[in-house]
Amino acid sequence: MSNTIRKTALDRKMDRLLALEEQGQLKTNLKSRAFRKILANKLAVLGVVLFTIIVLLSVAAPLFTKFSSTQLDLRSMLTAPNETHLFGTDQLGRDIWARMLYGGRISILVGFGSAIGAALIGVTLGIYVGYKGGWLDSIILKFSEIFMAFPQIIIILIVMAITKASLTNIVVIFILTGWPSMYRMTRSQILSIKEQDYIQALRAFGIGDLKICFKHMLPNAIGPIFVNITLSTAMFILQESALSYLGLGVPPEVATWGNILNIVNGRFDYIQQYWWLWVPTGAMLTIFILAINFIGDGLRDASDPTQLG
Amino acid sequence: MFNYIVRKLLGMIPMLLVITFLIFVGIEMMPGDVIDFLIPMDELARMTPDEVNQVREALGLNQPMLFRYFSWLWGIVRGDLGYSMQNSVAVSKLLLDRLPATLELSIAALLISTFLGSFLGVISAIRKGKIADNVLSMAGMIGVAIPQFLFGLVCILVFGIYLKWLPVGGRFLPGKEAFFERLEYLIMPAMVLGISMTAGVMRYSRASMLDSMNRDYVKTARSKGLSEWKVNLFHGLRVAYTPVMVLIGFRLPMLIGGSLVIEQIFQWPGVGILFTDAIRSQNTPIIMSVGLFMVLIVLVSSLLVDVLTAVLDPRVKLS
Amino acid sequence: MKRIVLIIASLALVVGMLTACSKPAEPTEPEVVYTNPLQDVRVRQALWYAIDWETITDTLWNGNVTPAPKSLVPEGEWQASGLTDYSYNPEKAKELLEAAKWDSEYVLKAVYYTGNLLDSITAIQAYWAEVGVKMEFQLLTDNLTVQLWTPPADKVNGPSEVDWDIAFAGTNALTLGEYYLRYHSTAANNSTIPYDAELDRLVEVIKTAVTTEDQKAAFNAMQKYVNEKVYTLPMFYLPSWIATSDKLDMKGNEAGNDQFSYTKNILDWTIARDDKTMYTNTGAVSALEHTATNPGLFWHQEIVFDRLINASPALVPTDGSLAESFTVSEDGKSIEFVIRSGVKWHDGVDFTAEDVKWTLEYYPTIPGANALMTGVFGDIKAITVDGNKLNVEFNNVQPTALTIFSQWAILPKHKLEKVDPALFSADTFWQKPIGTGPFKVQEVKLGQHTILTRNNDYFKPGTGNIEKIFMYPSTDQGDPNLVTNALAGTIDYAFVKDAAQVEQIRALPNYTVDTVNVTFTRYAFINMFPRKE
Repeated sequence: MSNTIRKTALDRKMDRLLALEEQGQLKTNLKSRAFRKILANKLAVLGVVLFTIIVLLSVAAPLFTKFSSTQLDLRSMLTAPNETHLFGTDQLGRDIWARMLYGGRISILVGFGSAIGAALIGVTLGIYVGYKGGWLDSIILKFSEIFMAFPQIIIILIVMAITKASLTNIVVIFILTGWPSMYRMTRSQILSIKEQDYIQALRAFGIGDLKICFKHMLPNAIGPIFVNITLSTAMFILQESALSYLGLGVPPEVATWGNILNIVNGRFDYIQQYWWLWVPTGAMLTIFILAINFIGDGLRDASDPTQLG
Repeated sequence: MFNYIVRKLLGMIPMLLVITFLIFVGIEMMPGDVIDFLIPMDELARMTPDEVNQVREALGLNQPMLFRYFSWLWGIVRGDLGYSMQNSVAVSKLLLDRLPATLELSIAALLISTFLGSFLGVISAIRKGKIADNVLSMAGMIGVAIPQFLFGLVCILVFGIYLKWLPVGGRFLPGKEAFFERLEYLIMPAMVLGISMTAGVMRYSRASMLDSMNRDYVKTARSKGLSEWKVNLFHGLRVAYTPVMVLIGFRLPMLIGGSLVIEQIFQWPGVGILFTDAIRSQNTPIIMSVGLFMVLIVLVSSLLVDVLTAVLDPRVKLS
Repeated sequence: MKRIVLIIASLALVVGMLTACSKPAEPTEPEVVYTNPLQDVRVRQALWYAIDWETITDTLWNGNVTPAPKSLVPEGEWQASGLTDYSYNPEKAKELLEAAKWDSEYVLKAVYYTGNLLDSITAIQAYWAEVGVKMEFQLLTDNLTVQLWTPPADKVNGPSEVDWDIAFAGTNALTLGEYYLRYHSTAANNSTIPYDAELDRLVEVIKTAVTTEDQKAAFNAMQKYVNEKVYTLPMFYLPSWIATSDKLDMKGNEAGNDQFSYTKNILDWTIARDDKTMYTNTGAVSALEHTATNPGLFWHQEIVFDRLINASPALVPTDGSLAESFTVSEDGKSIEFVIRSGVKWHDGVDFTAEDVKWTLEYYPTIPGANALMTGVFGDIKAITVDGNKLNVEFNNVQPTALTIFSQWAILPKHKLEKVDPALFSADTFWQKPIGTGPFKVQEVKLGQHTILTRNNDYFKPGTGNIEKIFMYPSTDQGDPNLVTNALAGTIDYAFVKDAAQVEQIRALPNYTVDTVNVTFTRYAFINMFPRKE
C-alpha cells in the first residue's frame, strides 16, 4: 500500500517540457524507432520474455500441470518437491505448482484489469475534460485531489465491508484509487498538446471535439500512458498480494499469489521447515513484477526522445 | 510565495470537510456498528432490541447522522479529538501512545533510504553504463519488485531464525526500554522498510544527477578543466537533496500513518494497526480523528513538496 | 454465479417436468415436499457421513483435536450411550442423498467467522463434492450476530432471516445447557431449527432438571433425539493448552480450563528470573476486559478480583473465597454467605457485604452480560445483609448458582455505582481496575503491555516469589505474538487456544505444554428454514 506518487510542480513542468520536445521531434518513423530502441534495451527484451513465459504458463495452466489448484489430498500434505509435485504440496495437500499457475491467472487479471480500468477512466477524463477545460475540468481535478488524499486503507476496508470481499470488488477498489494519477498524467500531457498549432488548425477547420481528442491528441500522448499502465499493473499486483497476505484482500478461497503466501503469515514453523510453501510463489511473483518493470522502463526510454543513450 | 501558501492552506479546508464527511458517510454505510465489537456475539444474540437500543442510546449512536458529524467537527474545532467508543479513552491519548513507535520506525527508514538511495544513485549515475551502474540498477529494480512482506519474511528467516542476530518481532524486551536496549528491535523493520524505499530514491537521484550532468553549466564546468571528481561531488551533492526533499514529502503521510505491512510482520505497535483495527471495529471517533490527521498530512506534505521544489529549483515557479 | 445456478436449476426443473409428464404416474407413497432440501433428515445425515473427520483432525490439526462423530457432548460420563456413529462413510452418504433425491446442482452457501477453520472448511468442501454436494463458503466479518442468529418471525414456516445454509461455529460452554438451550423454538438466537414440539419439551426438561441424575437423563434424552435428527453437525472437540516455561514453578497447582476462572494459588508460584517477574499474555488491547461477559478468560479477571467461592481447575465450586463459608438452604432456593472481614480494595477502602449486594444486583442490568449469569442473578428475589452475613434468595431453584458464584467477580461499589450499565464495558474503570485480588494493576499501556504487582495485603498470603506479572496484549481470539515471544523465551505462562501455535511451542525445548480438556465443541449449524428469494 505504497502511497501514490503525487505530481509535483516540478513534475508537471517537466511533463510539459517533455511533451513539447516530443512534439518538436515528432517523426513519422517514431513507432519503428521505438521498437528498435526496445530491442536495443536488453533488459526490456528479457522482461518481455519472462512476462510472456509467466503469462503463458498461467493462461495455459492445464497444459503444464495435471493437478487442479483446488484438489485436496490431506494424506499427502506438506510433501517436499518431488517428481509428482514439482514444488511440493501445501498444508491441504494441494499441488503448489498448480496453485502458482492458477493463482497467476487471477493475480495477473487483477493487476491488468485494475490498470486498464483505471487507465480507461483516467485517460478518457484526462483527454476530453483536459481539452475542454472550464468548470468540469476544475471539478474533476478537485475530485482527483480528494481521491488522492483519501487514506487508501479506509477505502479498502469500508468498500470491502459494504460490498463484501470479492475479486470484482478488489478490482473496483483499485480502479477507484488508481484513476486519479492516470488522469493527472494524461491531463498534463493534453494541456501542452492542445496549445500546439495543428490542434488549433484542426479546431479552426471545425473538426469535432471527440475526434480531435481521441484521433489526434490521444496518439501523441500514448507513450507515457502505456508506461503508466505497465507500471500500475505491477503496483496493483503488489498491492493485491500484500492485502491478501494480511488477509484483507481477495477472499481466502480464491487462489492468488497473495493468498497462497498468506498461509505462512504468522507461521514461523512453516517458513522455516516448508520453504516450498512460499519461496517458489514469492519468486514467481517477484520475477513477474521485475519483468513488468523492465518492460515499463524500456517503454519509457523508447517513448522519451530526450534519452538517447 | 507567501500568498501562494496561504491560498493553498485555505483551499485545504473545503477539501478536509469533504473528505471527512465522505469517511463519515462510509462508516455509516458499513453494515453493523461498534456494538458488534463491544459485546460478544453470543451475548448480543440473546439481547432484546430494547437492550441494544439502550447501549446505542448511551453511546449517542441514536442521534441523527448529520448531528453526530457536526458534533465531531465542533470537537475538532475546539481541539477535542473525541473518545474511543470501546474504552472511553481519549483518541489523543491513544494516538500519542502509538506515535513514538511509528515515528521511530519511519524516521529510521527515511534516513536509511535517503542516505543509501542518494549515495548509490549518484554512484550509479557517475559510472553510467559501467558494471557498478548495472549491478546497482538491477539491485534497485529487484528492491522495487520484491513485495515488502516477502522481503520481511526472508529477513526474519535469515537474521532472526537462522543467524539469531536480531529479534523476530516486537519493539523491546519488557523492562529494557532504553533506546540502545531496544535498538536491535528497530534494525530489521527499519531496514526492510528503508530498503524497500531506497530503490525509489536511487532511481530519482540517478535520473536527476544524469539530467544535471548533461546540462550546459556542467559541461561548461568540465570544459573549464575542473577535475571530474570535483564536478561530480559538487553536482552530486546539489542533485541529491532535491529528491531527498521530494521523497520526504512523499513519505510524510507514512510518518504519521505508519506502514501496516511492516507493523503486522514485525508486530510493531504503530498507528497503522490502531487505525486498521478502529476501521474494522467501526470506532468512529478514532477513524475520524486519525483519518483527519492523515489527510491533513497528505495535503500539507504535497504543498511542502511544491514549495520546496520551487525554492530549490529556480526553474520552477509557483502559480 | 447465482444467475447461472438459477438458469441451470430452472432448466433442470423443465427437463424434470417433461420427463415426469412423459411417464405415467406410478402409484407411490406420497412424497413430502421440502421447501428447503436440508429439511430432509437424510440429507443432513449424509452431510455428516460424507466428511472424514479422522483424516482432517489427524492432518490439518496434527491430532490436537478429537473428532465428534456422535454428539456435541464429548465422550465421557455426560455423553449418551447408544448414539449413531456418523464416522466417515461416503457410500452411505451417497445412498442417503440418492434416496432424498438430492439436486446435484444445488449449491449450499456456507459461512464462517473464525479464520482458523478455513483449512477444515476447504477440506469439507472437497469431501462434500465427492458425494455430489456443492458448497461455497464465505468469511463473515461484521454484524455477526444479525447475520448468523436472527430468528425468523414465523418459527414454523420461516422464511429464514439469515442468508446461509451452513454456519461453521463453535461454543465454549461453561455448562452443557449452553449447547442445547438455543434449540428451543423461542430462543432468541435460534435462526436454524423450525418449531419442533418434542425438541421444545426436551429443552424444558434440561432447564428444570436439578439433581445430577435428572440433568444426565435430560441431556441423554436430548442427545439421542438430535443425534437422529442432526439439527446441528458436530465437527470436533477442541481442547485448550497451557504452555509454561521451565523458569516457572506452579508448585503443584494443575493447569485448568483457563477460559474461565479457577483457583490458581498464584502467590505460591515461583519464578526463576532475577526481576521476579512472570511473563504471560492476556494483557490489555483496548482495555482490561470487564468481568460481566467472560468471567476468567483474562488473567486480571482472575487475580485482580476475587469471587465469593473458589473453583477447581475443572470448574467445580469448592470452598469459600471472599465468603469464608456458605450454606445452601434445604429447598435449594437460598444461599447464605459469611462475608470475610478485614479485606480491603486495592485503593485501601474496606470491602463489605454491601459491595457483594451491589454487584449481584448490578450485573444483570448490564446489556450484553453473560446470559447464564444474568439468568441466575436476574432470578434473585431478595438479598438481605445482616452484619457479615449475606443471604441470597432465588425465585426458582438455580442448579448452576454455585458455579456462577465461583466465576463472577465481586466489584467495588464505590468505583462503579454511578456507571450507566449500558456503558459498563466501555468505562474508564477498565483502564486500571481495582479489585481485592492477590495482584494489583500497576501500569497499562494499551496494545503494548500491562503490568500487575503483588498485593502484599492479600488475605491469604503465599509462599512464592513473583512480584510482578508482565502481560502481552491479547484479544478473546488469542495472542498473535505468542510464538514470537516463546521463540525469544520471553513468556512463562500462556493460555493457548490455537492448535497451530501449540504445535510450534511444543517443538521448543524449554516449554511444557499441558492439554486441558474443556467443553469447546466446533460444530456447524444447518439452516432448515426456507431461504428467502
